[in-house]
Amino acid sequence: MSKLAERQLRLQQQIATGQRITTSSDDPKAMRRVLDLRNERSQLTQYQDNISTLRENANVVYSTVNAMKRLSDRASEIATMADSSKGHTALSAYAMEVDQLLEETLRLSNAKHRDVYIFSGTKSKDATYTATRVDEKITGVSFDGNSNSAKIDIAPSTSVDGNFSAEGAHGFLKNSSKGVDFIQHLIDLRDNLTTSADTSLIKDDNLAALATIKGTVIGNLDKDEVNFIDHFSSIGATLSRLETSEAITKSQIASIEPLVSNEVDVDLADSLVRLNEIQNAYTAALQSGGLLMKTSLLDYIR
Amino acid sequence: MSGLGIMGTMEMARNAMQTARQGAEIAGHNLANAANPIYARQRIKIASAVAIPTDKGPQGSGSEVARLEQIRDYAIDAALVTEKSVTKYLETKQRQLRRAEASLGQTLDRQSIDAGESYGSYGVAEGLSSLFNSFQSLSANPTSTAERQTVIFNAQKLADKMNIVDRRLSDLQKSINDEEDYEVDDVNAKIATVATLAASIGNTEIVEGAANEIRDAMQAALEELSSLVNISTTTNKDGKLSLFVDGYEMVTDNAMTGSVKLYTDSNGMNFIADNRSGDVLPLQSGSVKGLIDVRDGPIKDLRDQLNTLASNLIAEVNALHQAGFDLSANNDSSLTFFTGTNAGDIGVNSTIISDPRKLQAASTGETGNNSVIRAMAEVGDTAISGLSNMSFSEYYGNTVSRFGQDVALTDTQLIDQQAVQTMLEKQRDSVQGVSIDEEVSNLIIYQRAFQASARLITVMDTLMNDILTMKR
Repeated sequence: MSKLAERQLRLQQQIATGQRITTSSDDPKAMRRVLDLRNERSQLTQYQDNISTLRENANVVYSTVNAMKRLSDRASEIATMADSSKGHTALSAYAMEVDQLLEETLRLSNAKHRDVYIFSGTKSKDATYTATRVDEKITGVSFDGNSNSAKIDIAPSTSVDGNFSAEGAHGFLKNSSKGVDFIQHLIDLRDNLTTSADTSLIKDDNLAALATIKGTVIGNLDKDEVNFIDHFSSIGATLSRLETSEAITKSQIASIEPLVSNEVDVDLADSLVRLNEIQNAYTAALQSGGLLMKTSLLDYIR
Repeated sequence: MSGLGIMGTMEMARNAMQTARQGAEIAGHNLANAANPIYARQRIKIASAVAIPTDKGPQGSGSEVARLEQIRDYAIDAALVTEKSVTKYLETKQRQLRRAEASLGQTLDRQSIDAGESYGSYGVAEGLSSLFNSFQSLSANPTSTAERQTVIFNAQKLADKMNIVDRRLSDLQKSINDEEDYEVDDVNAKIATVATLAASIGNTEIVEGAANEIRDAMQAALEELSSLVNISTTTNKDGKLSLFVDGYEMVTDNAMTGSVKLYTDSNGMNFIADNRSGDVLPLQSGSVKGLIDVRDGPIKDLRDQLNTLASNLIAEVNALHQAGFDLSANNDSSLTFFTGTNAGDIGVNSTIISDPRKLQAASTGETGNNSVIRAMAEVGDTAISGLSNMSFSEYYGNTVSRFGQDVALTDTQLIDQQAVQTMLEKQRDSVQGVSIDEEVSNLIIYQRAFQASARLITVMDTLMNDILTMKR
């Protein structure tokens, strides 16, 4: 009866907790497997978090570059519209607008997300650009970031770049090998427009400035725009890769759960049936014990 | 005239009544001890009384109680003394291993949902996962002070858990060690009891026959002593008992000649030693052996393995951290991440706790560099030579699993051993246990015998009366 009572207690515990094993002595091998599976699951969940972080950063960069591209579009539009048919006032207004585009570009290039400068590479606590100003107008910028990138793990032995840079081989705003230098090209556009609108200069100087816009600046702005588009593709490809990795990671996490369940969870139907059997056996043992004690030769002593 | 005659027959009936009464008394004595586990049932041995010679040949003269017998199987008794010693050894081992398992605190609880963990209470396994995951998380946001705080929090939580587990296991070892101290007095007291009982049996049986009740007490005393230490006994031709504890003679010819004493080694670990020679008793079974085996076996191994885990964690993480740069682009090669040397004293450096910016996560002065913290995260998956080329989680999983196997093996051994002991106890009960039905049957037989003898006296009395009234 004591053995039956012990088995009943064990089954009741299993049914109440839904678990076949609670401590390592219940099933040492299964415990080891479960600890390994839990560690794997925990790592995968962390990779998922890393992917979320990377996706978030990439989306922020994407939307910032998208805003820059809109500025580039407008700058190219102004550069195309600026010709000798426009009067000084109009050209002056264009110059002022380009100056505002320049200011906005500087603001966007110094954008921060979660207190990190998104285009400073791994010098992420340093502002990307510091502007040099003459009469409050931007005449140049100095890059305070770098083109380095930290690797962030998204799966075992798999990582992606976690940083973006305004300059360098993968620079968003300046890439010397491709002739890309958006800020400088905006400065050039603004300055040439200002020159073309300057009534104190001789006509030829005005026309020469407009010719520079047509001959050089528009071409440079086109290169900047192509660079932005290239980066859209690059960010899109990264996001796609991250989405794929996330889907794989999710499915890996989902596939671990049944494995843990197989090791740990109790088969309720089976346990309930066994509990019922043992309870019946326990009741029978009690009854037979009672019957044994009920009838005795003591009853026949007179 | 030959034979007993009327008076002689009445005398024979009176003797038979006394025999029946004594038989009923013994049956009553047996019934009174029906629930006494150490009691061996008794019975009277009835013999025919001396025959009287007559001219027709010898004539029986009734019956008498020849002696009182105790039904005892000494082979089963001896086997039980041995088996109870083994059972107690395993019971003690199991009890202490269960305590150690609880101290380790590594359980599965799928119903509790902890923050960041889908299941399970917080053990060292969860602590290791959380720490390496927070390293990984910081590597994705190396400038984030919030992530640095999380790293420090998880490291402190793991260190605290290791400290607590080590302290619990250390307390358990100490408590077992103290228990050894108490056991010495208990062993000596029980040796003295055995010697006293042996002497009583000798004295009683010289003058009064079988010392049945004292033999019951002796068996109980031997079983109690064997539950502490493994013993053996011998009896010489005079029936005098000698007792040996693990081969060392403690009782010689019914007299206590030896005892045990506490021996404490250079590490403060207590053992039981022979008082005369000073030899430490290696012991084979009994609760004392169980205590020593658990203290110096699985619990010590568990502590050693946790210490190995902690010391390797400290070394691996610190080596990387000391080469890194903090958020202010400074390198302090003396700044460790963890302090301490083992599971008992592992902690997080207070400099880092007070200023998380000082956590040296970068390999250069660039704040967004994550090389060091990423390498620290990768340590979690790296095979460490100091951990038998296993990763931290593998090593800990192995430790838990191995300890679980020790507990499970002891459980299985105990179940088997209890089956052996139960079988022997049943055998002993079948030989010397009191059967109420059998005793009541005997009671009825003695009652009827008594009634029949009483009737014989009535008949003889009638005959005598007839003789006395013949003259009228």
